[in-house]
Amino acid sequence: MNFDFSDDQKALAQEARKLLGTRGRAGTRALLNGGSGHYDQELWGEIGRLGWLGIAIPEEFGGSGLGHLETCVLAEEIGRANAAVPVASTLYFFAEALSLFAPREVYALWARQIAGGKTIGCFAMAESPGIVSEERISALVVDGMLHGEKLPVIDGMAADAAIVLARDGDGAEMSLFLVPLAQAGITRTPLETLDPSRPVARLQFSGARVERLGGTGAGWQNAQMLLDRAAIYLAFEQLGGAEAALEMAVGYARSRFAFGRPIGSFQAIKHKLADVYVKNQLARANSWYGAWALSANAPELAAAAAMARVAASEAFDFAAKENVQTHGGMGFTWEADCHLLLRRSKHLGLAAGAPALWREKLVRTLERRNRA
Amino acid sequence: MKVLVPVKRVIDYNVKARVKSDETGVDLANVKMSINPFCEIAVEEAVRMKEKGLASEIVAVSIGPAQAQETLRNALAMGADRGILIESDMDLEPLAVAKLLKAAILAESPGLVIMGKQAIDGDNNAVGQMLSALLGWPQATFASRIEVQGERAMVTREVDGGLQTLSVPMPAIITADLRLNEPRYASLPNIMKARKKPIDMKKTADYGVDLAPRLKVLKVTEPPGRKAGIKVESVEALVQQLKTAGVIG
Repeated sequence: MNFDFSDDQKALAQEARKLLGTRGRAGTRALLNGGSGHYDQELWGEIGRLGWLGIAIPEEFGGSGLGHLETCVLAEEIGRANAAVPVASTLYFFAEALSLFAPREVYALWARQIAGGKTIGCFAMAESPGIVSEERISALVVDGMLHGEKLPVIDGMAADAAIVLARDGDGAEMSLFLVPLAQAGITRTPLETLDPSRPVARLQFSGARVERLGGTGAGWQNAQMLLDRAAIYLAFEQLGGAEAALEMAVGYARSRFAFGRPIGSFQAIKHKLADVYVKNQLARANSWYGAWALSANAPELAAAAAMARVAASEAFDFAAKENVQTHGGMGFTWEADCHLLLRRSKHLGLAAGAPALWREKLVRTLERRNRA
Repeated sequence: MKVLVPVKRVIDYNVKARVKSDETGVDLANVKMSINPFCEIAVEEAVRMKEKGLASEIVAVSIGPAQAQETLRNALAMGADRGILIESDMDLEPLAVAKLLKAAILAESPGLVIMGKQAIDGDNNAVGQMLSALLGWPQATFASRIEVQGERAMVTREVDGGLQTLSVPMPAIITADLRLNEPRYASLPNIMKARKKPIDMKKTADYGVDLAPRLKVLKVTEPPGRKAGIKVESVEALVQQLKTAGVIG
């Protein structure tokens, strides 16, 4: 079986790289240097204008009607460019949740907005730092009004709407809800994190109007399904970041001379970079497997998502750290861009649950499969 | 009016070119290739003409290996209507390229040809001028502004010491300089549409032109590496060093 992307999908990657390549990191750098706003608005506008946000949205709703594989291709380029745009929150979580659980007329309405770059979405599940479990969800919807608190919510400050996991009715069951954020009864507070180019927020709800998505009581199960799918997209973003870190390190190792030789010719550096390459290849293989499982809606999806997530998180974390080390003293300075990738690797490593959580999930999934 | 735009597949401008170990040329194995930036500017200008209603059809033509289809797809995604690929695995000289383009142009009968002033691989800056001579058409090279007025094109050229404006009757050959425009990014829907636009596959033999090389490349070498500088104690010493090096008189 060939898991590689088709020539057409590779051509899409080239086009996305051309758009994002030169501009992605500049916007991230500007935000870190105290730039205004919660994301790179200019780049976001351009991505929307050029139709990339409608990549997986059907043509009848203003999108390009492509699929999961093409979204994976875009995710890798977003990661490679280190772009400060809320693509993950909007496409991997918000749009994906709507396509899975929203009635057709609701999906049509929001899909057009997303495809046109007019709506930013987010996903609000956790209510405190640490591992998210069913017992730790206490936000409650009574008579169609949401009460409670969610944090950390990625892109919560910029989002126009959120998908929220909350308890339903008497509190015994959970459901997913669609919450427009431009309404009374919602307070947003920015939270400080390591990567200000992917800002997070605390959302407090005191009687916000909501709309249920998916079946009543299926919230936790649906949230897990959404996380599995988003994990694969995030793995591609991490893979792109890991590749960018390797390219940056190799570029520096080739051009930085010590004792009359490029530092890349010394074993201490070249072995380090070879290790990064190996981890990246492992992450790529697992991400491709995940992309296949996602596009085929295969029974292996949960296991494939966990494998992709673990391998890509480890690869990006390792590549970002070794990139700093390869740059030596320069790597620790604000002038070198190594810290941008390191920050993003930390952010993405926690964006849908830490690798340890996914490792545990993988073990449980494989145990279930072996029992069957 | 039909506009024909030749486009070339070249080594990507971000890639550091490396010379083959046998010094016979530049190593292109596993190197990223892209559309020549000046050709991209030419395509952009043609697309703008079409958007203004001055052009009715844009035909992109490339000469090169089968992979040059991707270069044509790039032009099609920007807004060209169809492509022609004249397949050749040879490293053709400017004169051979000009002869092939002449044959393609005579077959297509465009009202205007806009092309890059040069390709960034060979930097010859020759095909546009040769094509003009072979066709007997007027040429306006290094265009930084093009304005179509009826049957003529007003072309502002970047020349030593300033700008020169020519009025050329069409059909004509115009070569694009860097500041003619800023090429657009192709939109995702247009990238998808470009996959379905037609590319006519031709062989060099279809045109029956003489492609025999007239030039012989003796050797290709890397530019000499930069030498380490020296520190001087005073301005006088600096001036003396510059005089010794022949930089100042």
